[in-house]
Amino acid sequence: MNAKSTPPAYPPASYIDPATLMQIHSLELRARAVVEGFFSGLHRSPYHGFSVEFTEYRQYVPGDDLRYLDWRLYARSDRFYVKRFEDETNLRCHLILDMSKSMTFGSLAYSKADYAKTLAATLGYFLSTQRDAVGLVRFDAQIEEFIPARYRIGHLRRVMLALEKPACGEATDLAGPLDQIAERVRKRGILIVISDLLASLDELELKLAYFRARGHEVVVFQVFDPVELTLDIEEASLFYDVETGHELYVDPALARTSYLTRLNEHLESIQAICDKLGIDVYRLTTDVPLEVALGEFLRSRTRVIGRTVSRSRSW
Amino acid sequence: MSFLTPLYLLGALAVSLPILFHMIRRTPRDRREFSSTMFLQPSPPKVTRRSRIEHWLLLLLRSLAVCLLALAFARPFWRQSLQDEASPDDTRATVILLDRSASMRRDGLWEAATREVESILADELEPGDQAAVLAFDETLQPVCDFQHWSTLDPAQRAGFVLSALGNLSPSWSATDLGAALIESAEQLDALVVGDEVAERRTIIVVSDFQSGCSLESLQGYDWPGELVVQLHRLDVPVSSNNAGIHPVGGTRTESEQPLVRVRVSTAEGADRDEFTLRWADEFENSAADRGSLEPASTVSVIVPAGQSRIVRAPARDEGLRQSRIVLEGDDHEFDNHCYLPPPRVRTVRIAIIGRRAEPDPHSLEYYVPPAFPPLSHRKIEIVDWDEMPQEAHLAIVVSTESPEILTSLRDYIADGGTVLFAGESPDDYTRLFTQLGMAPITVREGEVDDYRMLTSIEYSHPFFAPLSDSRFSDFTKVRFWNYRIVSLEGIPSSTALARFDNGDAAVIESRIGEGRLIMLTSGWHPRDSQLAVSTKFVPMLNGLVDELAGIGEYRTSFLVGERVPLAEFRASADELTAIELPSGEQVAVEDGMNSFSDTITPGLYTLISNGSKTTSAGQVSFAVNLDSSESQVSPLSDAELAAAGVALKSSESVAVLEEAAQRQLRAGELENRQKLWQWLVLSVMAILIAETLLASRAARRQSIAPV
Repeated sequence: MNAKSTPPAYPPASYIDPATLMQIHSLELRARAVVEGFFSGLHRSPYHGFSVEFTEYRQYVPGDDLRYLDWRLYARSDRFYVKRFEDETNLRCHLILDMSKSMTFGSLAYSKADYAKTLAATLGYFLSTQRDAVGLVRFDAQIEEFIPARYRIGHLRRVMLALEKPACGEATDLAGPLDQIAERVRKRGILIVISDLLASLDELELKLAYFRARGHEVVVFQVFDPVELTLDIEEASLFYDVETGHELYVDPALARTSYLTRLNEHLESIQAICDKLGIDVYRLTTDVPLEVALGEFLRSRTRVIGRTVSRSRSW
Repeated sequence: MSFLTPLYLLGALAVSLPILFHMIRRTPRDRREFSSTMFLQPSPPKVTRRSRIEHWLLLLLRSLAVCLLALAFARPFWRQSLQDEASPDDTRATVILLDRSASMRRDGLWEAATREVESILADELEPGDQAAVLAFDETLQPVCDFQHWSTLDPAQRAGFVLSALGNLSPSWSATDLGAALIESAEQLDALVVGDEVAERRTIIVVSDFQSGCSLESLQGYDWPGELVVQLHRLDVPVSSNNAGIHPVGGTRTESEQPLVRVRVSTAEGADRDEFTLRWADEFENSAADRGSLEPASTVSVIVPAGQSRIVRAPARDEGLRQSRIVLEGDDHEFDNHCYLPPPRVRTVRIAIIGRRAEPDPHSLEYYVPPAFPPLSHRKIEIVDWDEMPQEAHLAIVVSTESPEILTSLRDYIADGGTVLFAGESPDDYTRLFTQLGMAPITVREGEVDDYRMLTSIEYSHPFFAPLSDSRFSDFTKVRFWNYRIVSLEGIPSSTALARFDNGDAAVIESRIGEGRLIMLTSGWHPRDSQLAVSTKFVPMLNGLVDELAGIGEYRTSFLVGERVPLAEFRASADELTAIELPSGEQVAVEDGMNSFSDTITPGLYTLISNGSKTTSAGQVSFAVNLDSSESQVSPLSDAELAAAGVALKSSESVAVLEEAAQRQLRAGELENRQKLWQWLVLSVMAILIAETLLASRAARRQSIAPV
């Protein structure tokens, strides 16, 4: 089940308004506020009783210790599976954050970059509480900073500090940074891409497919400003592209229809690529509470676990 | 408010440009950052209903700046009451100048001029105005001056002037318009009305404005700027076919009388060029009295328009006293007569003392008679000394061998006679001195190595005067081989009129009583010298004779109004007692009168001596003629008069144009004084500064702002 573009209609009173959240200066505090706020409301959520502790089997590969071979599962499925213990079920999660110029755009009091950083911090904080290893990759046209996934004291702090650095990137290029990430992230894990994906999609499918082939799980959070999805601007203006520097005289009243058409084509292309590769895409606008994104992420993990368990049970 | 250059107001239409620029926003001031323009398509710039003017104040400021600039270029000014626009209370003084020169004698001009004066008095003068009516030709004559005008009742003024004009007629004088204008201006300047000088002063000139009028006196005269001259040209069609005849130079010598030359000149615009000249005589108007006389001869002359020719007048008819040449062939009679005094033939009597029956070619006597050739103006009579010794103008002593003849010579000289003597030997001189009762004077023969020449010549003396010209004064070719030494000390009241190159006297003049003795110390015959056979001898003797007979160079022709000096005429007219005018009237000449000024009419003026026209020198007369400038009847243009520096105000349709020009000039002066355009330009600059500040502030507000 793939993620949908629109978030579920959670009661807005239970979530922190992003504008209010952005008032918190510290990124870590923001993340904590979202995570703790999210879980403190879980008992009222329909996900009551949801367990966050889960185990899994993985297929036996030559070299694994035969002491952990699950013979009962072999008897049932005639396939060799190795039981993963809790410590082996901790994820290696890399937050891949787009810090290009396009992310600096924002029609609200904060930019997409602020929202994306807060989202990354929230996910990183959550994963850290789950004793998962969290890493960070900041990129624009190339990787600006790479922090490998670790779970150790002080590592989350390092990630938060890296997240707080301002976006000073140039144009957006997905292909190059994904290539570099593929070389540096060897061990399988989760790659959470947070970007607006307003770039050429020519090699996106190839790069993402490579990750999937390597066994990585990819989650894409596509962050937009509300204006980018509606072009709700009254006055004709000279539109200045913050990445390319191009200027266009645009009358929104005249250009809206074609803009939305082309934008939706782009989004549908991304969706198609992700659907094809089994990648969940979540489209967020910067006015959506971050708890929603967190909830979506958790749901996606649940589905992944469910798929894994069902596959192992069906054997 | 008025404008000097109102067309520039059209520049205010440019105020629409800022409005248009506001409506068409090709380059919108709003600049909006966007994350990516990859999905956006550019929109064409257009003026839509939704284009709106945002900055009303900026638009107003810019529009105001454009309008004020256009206003400045249009050069506005406030038209105020002008200083030269007269108020009803201004005192006015006017001089009416009426031309009465000879050219006004042409058909209908004088009548038209008087009518013009009448209309001026009726239409252009107010009862409170001060005016004077002056007639002018070469001089200014008051018809009604300012003083008389002010004493007259306003209702009687016009009648008085017209009555005075009725007794006036054109003169024969030339036109000195310049002097008349200057004198009128000075009269106006001196005129005081009440306690003030008249504020509006005008000179109205009524004339034919012929081009021959004199304007020379205006040269260099600083014409008062506020004094306006109004020209009233006479609306009478006058033919421009006019030719005039005038004596050449105006000065003739009696010796030139047979050669009569006159100048014929035609006016500009004349379309005839062929005229005839003839003498008019006493039978002018009576063909019957002319009797058997041949018709007067005529001379045809061709003179193109605007030119003049000097022509020889036809010969006078024999036996007739003709004094007037008439020109025929043009349309105006007044300048067609030229007066010339008839020629006088003087009889000069010369006595030769010591004549022989058979003159010897080697004698002095032989060369005397041939020295006096017959001339048209002079008849020489060689008289017998014995018969009329006192009647001779000159006694020439060629021999002193007859003492009894010499006896009467002393009385002759004492009574004023002139004796010319040259001896052949010292004894001749001694005998002459003895007979004349002079003290014994030693006379001896002079020593001559080769020859003597004359020097130290008194060319002022009538004996040498004909040779005073440098062309004739060379005596170096006249050589003297024999002469007598006569000391001046022994001769009373003597002067050496010439000397030889060794200093001895050659020609001696001695005053004896009323007369004089002119003595040559060398004979003129070939035995003594080359004088008689030289070119000098005849002029020397004739110069002496002309001086004795009163024949000389003096003017016989004058212009109308010119003063005639009487001294020259007294010498030839015996006792001058009166002068007869052309009209026949005689004007007495007093003893102390040196000049005659009553030359107001062209014609022949005859000197009267003791009641008789005939004097010992014959009938003496002089002619008075019209000034040739009066024959130039082509009209003078206003520009020529204005060029002389006179402020004109035409009464014709040109006044409309002049008024417009004056108005424009006044407008220009007003605008130049007020200089409103400077304030407008300053206002524009202030507005532009405010607009700049306002626009930059607005631009800062709307500068790059995210949505």
